[in-house]
Amino acid sequence: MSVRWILLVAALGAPQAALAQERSLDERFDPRTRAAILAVVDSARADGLPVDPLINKALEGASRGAEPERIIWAVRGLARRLKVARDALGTQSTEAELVAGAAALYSGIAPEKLEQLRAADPGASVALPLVVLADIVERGVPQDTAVSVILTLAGARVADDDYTALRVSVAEDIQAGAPPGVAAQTRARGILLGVRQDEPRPDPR
Amino acid sequence: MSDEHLNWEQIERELKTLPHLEPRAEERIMQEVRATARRGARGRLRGWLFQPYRVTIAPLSALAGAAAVVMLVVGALWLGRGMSERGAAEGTRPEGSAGTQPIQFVVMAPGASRVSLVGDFNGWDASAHPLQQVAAGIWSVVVPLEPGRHEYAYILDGERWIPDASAARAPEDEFGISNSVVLVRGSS
Repeated sequence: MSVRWILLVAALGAPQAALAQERSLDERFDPRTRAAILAVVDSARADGLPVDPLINKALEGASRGAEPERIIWAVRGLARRLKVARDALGTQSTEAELVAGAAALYSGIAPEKLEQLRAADPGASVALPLVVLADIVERGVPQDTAVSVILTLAGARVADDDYTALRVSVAEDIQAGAPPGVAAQTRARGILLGVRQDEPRPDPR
Repeated sequence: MSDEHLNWEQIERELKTLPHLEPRAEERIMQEVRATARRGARGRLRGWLFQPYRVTIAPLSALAGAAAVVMLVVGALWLGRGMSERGAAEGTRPEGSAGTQPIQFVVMAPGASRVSLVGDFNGWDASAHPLQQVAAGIWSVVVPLEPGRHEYAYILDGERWIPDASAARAPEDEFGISNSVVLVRGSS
């Protein structure tokens, strides 16, 4: 299949997928709740924000048996955070980056920290660092420590596997009884030492 | 016999007579002739590549060529950024070849009689992806996922929502629950 056909199929398929998702709201919500959710969705779409995460938030609320008012409140809140994340991370950000940024904002990370993370390694995706940031904060690492650790790793341009290793090892340390902040700092230091050891040494001659 | 006729005969004789050569000169000349013949197509190609040519081009054609080069470079950078994004993913999940990736979800739920997977990839529909019990208390399902960030949870016996203990956690959301997160790699 040529690139032209792939682009055409993608262009036609994307709105169809979004419409199918919006139709799923019909089955799960009463007309008033549905109208309120679609108003947020339409506004976000006009603003150039991804709308699938908003519809999914509404569907998640319905599956969890949440009250309609709470679901509408949750969808509005997510739309606001997506916009703040887009402003902080830039208009070229991917949907995964924006949703991860919105989650980080929800866990209390300041928008300026998202900007700093993007600036630390402008060519790289920030989706995984943001996922790991939100994870370690959720596990009890103080926000300032968590942000400092992730920004340091981003500045050192560590590999994706290093972020994953940090998340897994910090979770294990906390489960074993280590203070969350100490666990994060210690594991990050170990990763940075590993990175430096991997760097080519200067020729002694 | 005229002088003119006599001169022609002398010239013909001189031309038919080989010049005097030193003993190995003829052999060296023939070696060079044979080497030139052996070069064949490769030799001719090399000669063509290294031989200078004069090229003429209209200014408009030169501008069009330069624009094409710029578009190629910009396109390659754009594709590279896209691939970088798709490559930024977490975990040791199995990877497919292109587009969606088969992701295996495994959970230990010894007391459960049925387990479902719900997430933003199936509209949080508990009937979409039931897990199969692959060993005593161990449940599994493989789901094709689009590259990107996905939130999910398990539902035990249609009632009890639990996160994936081995996965990244999302912040506790507006519904008072912390979902699990999987970041799916794209093809590379």
